[in-house]
Amino acid sequence: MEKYDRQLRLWGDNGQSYIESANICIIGPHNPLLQETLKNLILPGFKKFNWLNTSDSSNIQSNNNNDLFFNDINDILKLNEDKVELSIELWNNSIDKSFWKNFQILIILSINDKSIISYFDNLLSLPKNDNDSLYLPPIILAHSIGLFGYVHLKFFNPHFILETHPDYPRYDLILDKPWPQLKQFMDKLDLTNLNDSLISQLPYVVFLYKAIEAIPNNEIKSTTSIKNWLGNIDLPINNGNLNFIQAKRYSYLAFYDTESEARILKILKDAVKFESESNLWRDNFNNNVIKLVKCFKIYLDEFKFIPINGEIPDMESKSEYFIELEKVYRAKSESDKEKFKGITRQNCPEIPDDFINLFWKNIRNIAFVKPSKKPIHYIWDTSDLLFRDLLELQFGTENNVQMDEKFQLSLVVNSYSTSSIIAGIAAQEVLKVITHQYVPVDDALVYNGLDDEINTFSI
Amino acid sequence: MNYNSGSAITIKILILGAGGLGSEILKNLIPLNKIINEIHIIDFDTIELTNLNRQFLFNENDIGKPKAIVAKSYFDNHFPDLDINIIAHNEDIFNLSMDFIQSFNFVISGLDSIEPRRFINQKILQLTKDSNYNICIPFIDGGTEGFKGHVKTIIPGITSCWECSIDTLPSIQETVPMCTIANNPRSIEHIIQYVINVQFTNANLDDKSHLDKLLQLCIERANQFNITIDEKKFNVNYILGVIKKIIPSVSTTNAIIAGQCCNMLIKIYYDLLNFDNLKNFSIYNGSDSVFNYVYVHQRNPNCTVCSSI
Ligand SMILES: [Zn+2]
Repeated sequence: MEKYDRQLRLWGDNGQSYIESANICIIGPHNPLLQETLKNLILPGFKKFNWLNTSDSSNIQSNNNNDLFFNDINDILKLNEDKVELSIELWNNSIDKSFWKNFQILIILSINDKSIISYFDNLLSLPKNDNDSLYLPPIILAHSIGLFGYVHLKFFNPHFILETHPDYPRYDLILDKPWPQLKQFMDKLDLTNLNDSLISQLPYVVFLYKAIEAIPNNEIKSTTSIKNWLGNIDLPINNGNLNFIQAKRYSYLAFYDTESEARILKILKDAVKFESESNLWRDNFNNNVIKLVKCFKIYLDEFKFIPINGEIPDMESKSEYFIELEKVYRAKSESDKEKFKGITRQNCPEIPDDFINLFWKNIRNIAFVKPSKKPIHYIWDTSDLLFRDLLELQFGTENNVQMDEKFQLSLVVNSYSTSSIIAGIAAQEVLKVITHQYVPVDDALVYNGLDDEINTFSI
Repeated sequence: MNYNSGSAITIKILILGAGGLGSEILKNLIPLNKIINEIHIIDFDTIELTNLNRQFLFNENDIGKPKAIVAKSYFDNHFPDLDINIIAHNEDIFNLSMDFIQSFNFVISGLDSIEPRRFINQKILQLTKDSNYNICIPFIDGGTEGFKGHVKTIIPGITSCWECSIDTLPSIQETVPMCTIANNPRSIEHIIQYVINVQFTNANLDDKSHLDKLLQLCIERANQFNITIDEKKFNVNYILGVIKKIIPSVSTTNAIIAGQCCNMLIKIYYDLLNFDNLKNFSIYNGSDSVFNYVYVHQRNPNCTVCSSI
């Protein structure tokens, strides 16, 4: 595993195991975009591929295209010393629909035949009660030409992400809703009886708690009132005390975060709504999350508040105070979690304990991408003009494209770098989808290399 | 610039770094054989196992060998008829002379450290100044970290230079006061900092027995301060990540950033850009949807490198 050390720091062993067991289907001709995508997937550890080649039937895998970097597709497979399986067939429009259930994702690259899109749209329009139609994994469509390219990602079921890895994690200290153990911890610390040295070693949450406690109940308890209280505090504190500076800076963390609550409640509501509307295939991860989301609604009906996950931010403090405080928060989270597990045991006993722990730890970070109800050919209705032009060029209807001189030149310059970029983005979205970590694009982007812009939008 | 669209002027390019980004850049330039006749690639590092998750020019047999040399030999083996002359330098970038640097039309960097970039930037700006604008070598700098990356394009004397943006770098990690680390550790990171800076200062991070000892010392000290250790996460690799400030890295981001660097070169060559208001900095972030921000980084009038040019 040491080979993967630098990426395990992004998604951990869990993410890596999803990658190494995933089965990917690629549809498209043998071109730089396809080679680069395959390369970018094999390097991080994907091992199982089907390639449905849409090139002319002769020379299915050899290089008769001077633009290709790898002479032979097998050279790409060798980038992983472990065995990589690639099964190659020619695309045909009569592939049985049951075939698609083998895959976690389909990647459709640079096709120029609209009948492939019609094939999938036909599957999507089959009646929902036809059980065989249950199987269609997420689809990525991508293409590059000159200095331009696009990536479109389409889900047919709600896609959940638990480990979203926000750049700035949000902590909820809920000091306005103390539980007995927190109250006990705080009551032991009497500000008027602590000496100067201990005051300077108190974690800032103690000041925030004392402020909320001191503000009379008939006054509005807000960040401002906390700051006022801190400003008038009669204690041996000088302005250089880091803990006191932090108390002022982070006073907004004191209160139960109703904004987060609203966001989470909306996600839960939408998720259940979309789930009830679709009976299409979904992967085990999404399936587990949906079940836990339903349990979590039961939990909220009874306990009302989004629970804490037991983590508190680092803060200036004497070790003992901090460690004890951390224990108080962890214990609260654990005991709430046991109540939640009581509900899951009744409703979905099959979900592994580790998964429930992961869900619990990341409730504040949960995100989901809505499934798309539109057929794929709706891409032609896009309001993004560049995207529309790229589609016309891709499918050979470029008569519809108006080109100025600069645009024309941008289309004919060597496009290898652009293929590399689009393949990089497409493979990155695959990594995000398969690991269920980091939020994927919803649901399309266009790369404009002339202006260095990447525009994201929903179709 | 000298390059008019359609002209057949051939150019010579210097690539700094033959790691994940440098290899991607080199690969992307090969199809430009009609406009490029020579590529030099310089790197002083040797190949390690942890490079291979994003390396397509190296394999496990190459571990321990110099990156630049192995990268070149890949092309010797796979492209025997290639009409671009590739020259590898297993050398320290700081040893490059002005004469050497001025023989290139472009410099593209795919490095992971700051100082060599500052060095090259200073030399390139100096060349433009000393030659009274006769020499103007575009410097295109790519960098990645996890799912994020940047491309900075420096046209000496016209756009801002690398040094102009030095203040925008994230402060080299938020430093925790030493008294916290010594007296009030609160996290396993604080423990590791103490062990490596106070208890075991001569630890050799390449020696397995030293790493085991480090791990042991960390566990002991964590226990002493009642700091809980997540046994699933806490191991030698975790400690190394904290000590070496290891930057996460993945093939996909390298492909995206290297591609953008090379497209910048193409646009400069074919005169597709307007230098006067060039959006010379771009930032990519793929960790939450896909976000790309491109903007004009203004020149810093007090820049120590370019203010007099
Ligand atoms: Zn400058």
